[in-house]
Amino acid sequence: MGDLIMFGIQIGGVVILLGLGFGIGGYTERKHFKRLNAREIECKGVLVSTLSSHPYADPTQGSEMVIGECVIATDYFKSFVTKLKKVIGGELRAYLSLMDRSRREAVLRLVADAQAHGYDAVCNVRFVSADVGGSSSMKKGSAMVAIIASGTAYRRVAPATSAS
Amino acid sequence: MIVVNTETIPGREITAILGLVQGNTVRSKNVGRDIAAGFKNMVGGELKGYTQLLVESRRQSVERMIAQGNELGADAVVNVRFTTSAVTSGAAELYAYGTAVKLAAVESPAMTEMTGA
Repeated sequence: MGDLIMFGIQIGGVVILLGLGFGIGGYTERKHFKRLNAREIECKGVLVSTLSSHPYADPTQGSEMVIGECVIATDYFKSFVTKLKKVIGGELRAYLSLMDRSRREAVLRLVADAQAHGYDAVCNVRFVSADVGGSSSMKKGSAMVAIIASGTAYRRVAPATSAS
Repeated sequence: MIVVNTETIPGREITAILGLVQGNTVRSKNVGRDIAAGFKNMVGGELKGYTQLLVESRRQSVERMIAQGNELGADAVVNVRFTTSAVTSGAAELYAYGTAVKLAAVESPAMTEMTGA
């Protein structure tokens, strides 16, 4: 009987965590995506490219490295669903949005860094996924992703001569 | 010191390549951040403590790289790259590396036009 109660408590805990993950996790994710979309529209004026040359660069204005970082964790519900999905394999859609969110957030921070220093273009954007917690963070089953985006910020020449 | 992650700097000419400069740092997260992150792991979302940790480590490693560049008498570090590796559980290394270079003195825009550069 005691075992049964313990089992019940454990199941109850998992269900509560699943509910929290699904509810709050889903809500924060939707909110984050909304904010990302809005901020990306705001940052339309900044030319972001992966070219290693400086397209339309104004040679008198100099350039500087800019960086954006972001660490995002997944929620309990998603890691639970993913554990089930791992049995059959295939694409893990729950983690796809996690990677997407942190990359976009990192790029937006990089662009914000560039704008704060008075630049209006960023080239040679690179992504590195960092391992903040070391390999231990993966053992707990809850995934988190840390992204460093780096690029070179510079000023463009007057838009009259550029095709953008 | 100019630090960029492209091979060239607009409007500046590289006159000498001094070699590889690097900086690294191994940081571990602390218990306080760990607990906060543990809670955040249930509901998802950004782990601000870890983002802060990442910013600090990155600054530290770039600073060390620049210090090495200064030792060589460099004017700029170009083609900077980052890489990370998990050293042990709970600690991570952030490694920044680039090429230290010497630059030609700044030319006025008029000069640049005349030389066609």
